[in-house]
Amino acid sequence: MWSLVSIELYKIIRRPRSYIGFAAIAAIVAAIHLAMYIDGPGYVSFFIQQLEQSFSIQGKIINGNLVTWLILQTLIVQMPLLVALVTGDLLSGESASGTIRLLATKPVSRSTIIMAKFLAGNIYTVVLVVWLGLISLGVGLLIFGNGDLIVLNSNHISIFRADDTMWRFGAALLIACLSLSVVATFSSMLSAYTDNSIGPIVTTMAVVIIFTIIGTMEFPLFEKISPFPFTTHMVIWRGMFDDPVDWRHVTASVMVLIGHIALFLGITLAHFNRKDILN
Amino acid sequence: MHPLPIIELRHLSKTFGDLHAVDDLNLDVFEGDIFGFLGPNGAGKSTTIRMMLSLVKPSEGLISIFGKELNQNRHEILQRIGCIIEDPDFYLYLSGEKNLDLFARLSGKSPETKKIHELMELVGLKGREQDKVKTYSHGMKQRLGIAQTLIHDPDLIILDEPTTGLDPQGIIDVRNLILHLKNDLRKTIFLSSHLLHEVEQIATRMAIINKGKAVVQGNVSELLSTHDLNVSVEVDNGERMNSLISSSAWQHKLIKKSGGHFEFRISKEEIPVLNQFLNGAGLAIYGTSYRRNLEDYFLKLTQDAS
Repeated sequence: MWSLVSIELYKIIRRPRSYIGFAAIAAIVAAIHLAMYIDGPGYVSFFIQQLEQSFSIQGKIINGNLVTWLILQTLIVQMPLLVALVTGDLLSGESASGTIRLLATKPVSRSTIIMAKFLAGNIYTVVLVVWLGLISLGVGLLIFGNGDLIVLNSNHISIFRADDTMWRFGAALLIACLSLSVVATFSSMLSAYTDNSIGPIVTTMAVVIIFTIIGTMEFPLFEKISPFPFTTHMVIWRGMFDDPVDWRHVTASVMVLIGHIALFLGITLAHFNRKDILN
Repeated sequence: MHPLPIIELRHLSKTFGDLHAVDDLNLDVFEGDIFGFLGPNGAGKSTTIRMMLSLVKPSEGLISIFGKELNQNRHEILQRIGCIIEDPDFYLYLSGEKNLDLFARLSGKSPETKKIHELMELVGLKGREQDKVKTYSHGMKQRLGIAQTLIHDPDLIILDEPTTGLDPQGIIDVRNLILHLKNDLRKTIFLSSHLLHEVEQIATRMAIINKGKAVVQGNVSELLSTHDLNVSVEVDNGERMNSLISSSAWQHKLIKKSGGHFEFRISKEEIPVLNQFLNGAGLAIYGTSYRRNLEDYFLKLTQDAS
């Protein structure tokens, strides 16, 4: 199995499209760092001006922690596309190129092929999230320094001491990995049903966008639907910046996300094991 | 007496909706055979091969390879098979050498670079080992495909149209390579091809299928000897020969004439009779040759079946 996973990882590493995600994240993070460096004070004062009428805010508000939090808020929406670019092609790419025939005639079970691709896709996802964490938090702390984190939510403000932020970012990125793993598994599942890569990538994004909209709009009908799609639970990483953290809520969402992974993986295995490879 | 069958197909069928792609097919391939698998387009050759390689699940029937049922012993059986299925497709963004390395590792082997280079030299790709496959021509990919079938040293090699896209020298090279694999390395070859003269030249046994059914199978030389031959005769006097034939029953068996060259479609047993007739008439016979044209045979059988 691990030999197969290493082969799958090698194929991912050698494909140019695998680096689009890293380049895109680096570009966006660099742009936000630059913008915060130049326009940060004006941007932040716009948001906290009401707050300053009631409280005296002292210290370094614009710091690496705040900038990282802002980057996560922005990028977490785009990350599914960057993940699907690679994982949506894992099986359909093999079908399109015809290599699926050779792969499926080797002495490895089809389930092993799927599991190897699933693991490789998830390792890629984790590395992408680690990259995001490293360059947003690492470079952010280098440029802007450390400091307390002020988080403005819709109905409350949370302030975290500088030494209380690192584990929260770690946990948030861990949950982001799990959320994106659902996206990776979902796009891989779609990729098992088709012979072209565009379909799974576009469909994954369409599903993420549609259910994110449904989860955001406060219609009674949508509120009945919204607890079920994985997109609703993908934003649970923000729960790490609640004070105190609602662990029951976080755990429930994590379980829903794991359930989705199991469901999509199960469907992929069942379909691919029965599939006649005719292309 | 035949050695043990390497491949046994029993009542093998595959349907896609209403289409019977393969219909109650029975086939035996023996150890050491170069088995020619012939049939017109859409006859069910590729579907049969895909079922033998577990790419397609049979609707009915049994596939046994190396004496073991495929479904129950898939891993063990596929470890001993090398194959090309239709087009030779590879990871275009990787080098030829890396592709071979990956496919060998998928077969449970870790070949040394030296062995990969030897194989690439064997198929005429020396010097292109490090080049990405996307820079290869179709013929080069076909050659790499053949190297890929051999990389894990299999006992049975399944080749589906292995000479497609090759130039004449490439076709000869592949033919010689197949003979080398059989004669020197004692491999069993299952060769599906539409190039009938290729099969005729190298196969020991063959089967022809049409509409998913086996029309005929057996030893190539035996199958060919039981049917009419194209017999060419060259004589000293074409005009005399022409008038002689025109006034005899041989005129109905004459299919071509040009100067002193005459071609008849007759059975093997009729050759000495024809020679005797011509000699008796005082004609000098410079030469007689015959050829069982597999293409005629193939067309005849497939037309009969349809």
